Amino acid sequence: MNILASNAYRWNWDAVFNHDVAHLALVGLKYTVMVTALSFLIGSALGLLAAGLRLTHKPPFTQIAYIYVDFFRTTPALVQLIWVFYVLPVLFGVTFSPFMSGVVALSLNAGAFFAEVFRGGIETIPQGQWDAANVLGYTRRSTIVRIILPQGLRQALPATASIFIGLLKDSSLCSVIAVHELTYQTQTLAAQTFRPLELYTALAVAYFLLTYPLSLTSSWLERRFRVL
Amino acid sequence: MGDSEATQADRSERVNVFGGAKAIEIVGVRKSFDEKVVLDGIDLAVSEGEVLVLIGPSGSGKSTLLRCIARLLPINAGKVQIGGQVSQDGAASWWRRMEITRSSRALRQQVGMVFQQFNLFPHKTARQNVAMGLHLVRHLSKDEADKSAVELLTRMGLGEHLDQYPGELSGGQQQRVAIARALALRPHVMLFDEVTSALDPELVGEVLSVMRELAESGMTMLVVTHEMGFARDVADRVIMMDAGTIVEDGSPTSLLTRPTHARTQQFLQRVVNR
Repeated sequence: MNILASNAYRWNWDAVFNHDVAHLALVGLKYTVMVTALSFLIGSALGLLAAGLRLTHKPPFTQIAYIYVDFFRTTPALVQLIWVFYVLPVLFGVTFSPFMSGVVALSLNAGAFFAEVFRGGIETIPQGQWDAANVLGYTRRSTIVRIILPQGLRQALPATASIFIGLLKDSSLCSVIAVHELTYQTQTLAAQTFRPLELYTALAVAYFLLTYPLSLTSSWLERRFRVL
Repeated sequence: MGDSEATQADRSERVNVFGGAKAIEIVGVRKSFDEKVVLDGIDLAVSEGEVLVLIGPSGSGKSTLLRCIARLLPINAGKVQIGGQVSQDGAASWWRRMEITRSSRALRQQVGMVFQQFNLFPHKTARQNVAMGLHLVRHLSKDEADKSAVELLTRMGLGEHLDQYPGELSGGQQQRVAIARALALRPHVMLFDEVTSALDPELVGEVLSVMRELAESGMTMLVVTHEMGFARDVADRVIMMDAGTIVEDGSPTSLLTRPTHARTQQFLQRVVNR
């Protein structure tokens, strides 16, 4: 009987551990980290803005924020990415480089998730905190900056870490618009060396090594601020 | 047992701050939440240095009244005056309301409030909770604010808990920090909204004795409470509220022992015979 003897695949890790790969991996890492970091920063600013608008409870602002958040949370990141890269230039005549498109799309995407996380964090703060600050004579701004946000952001910390990890993984989507991040580099190398198994395994490990410290940091931060 | 120096110092600060006007004057105040009428025409005057205790069943509007005086809730009709100055005007136009709000910064500082749920800022230590207000509202330098905070908290017997967070303190300690926090702003009127109701029975005493000392130092106080002993011993006047109106108003001895109104009798019977 002819057993599928071809299961005996010959792993050849030389395809991964060599200088060319190392060089490309470094370039890929640079782009992955830059896309993730920029999207995180811009996204969190957007999210804070959107959450703020939602929390004013005033007609035009609430609706605008709601539409933005709803749209970007319910459509796939990949679709958003392709749309920003191909459609936006046609509509507005602005051309983005692949890298810029990636950052714009992922920022908008992350912003929507941040908005919900921040809004949730702030809404769970008891009314009593606002009352106490009010009666003590704090200005509205002082109350928000010194009392509400510190507590709200601490509440939002675990969810924020999740978003960060999600962003890191979504950065791999930017490979489809030719941003030279890790996944793109891996695809190129696999096509050249015909060793996809080794390369993609290495890629998976690389992503794990990037996200694991993030979850550890998040747990550490949660423990440190566990006063609440 | 004479007054401590600190109490005497406080009292000299509190004499005649309103220049003869009533500390709190409430005329025809009405408050509804959508359809539900919670305050149905309240008329009340509190003199400087007076300690008024408000009793009544839950839902009678006692807390709402306090919150209206503290400007946490807008009234629908009537007027609230603090020390002769208009703090809220139910009949005012939108423009006049803005004016009142703007000019009432100083007024807000004259009224301090302590809540049933303490409402301390959990991410700040006891000392920071008290000092923050001194720095942000009374504009003391950070060092002066801290010194004052430490002094106030030590006077309340919390000298060993200065750097602890509210989560690390007992209910009684937290409430005393809350009182210190409110007093730090040197209010002329203090409002207490069932401040011992959320405390374990053994911790109630320490808070009540702080309130008693405060009363003896001449502070104008409006206290919503179920502690009849406190009302009997410390209050100058007791007011019974029910369904949004003032049912009876009298001295502690007369109202608590010989209530004239049927509703008051009913309420007191239920509270005392537990």
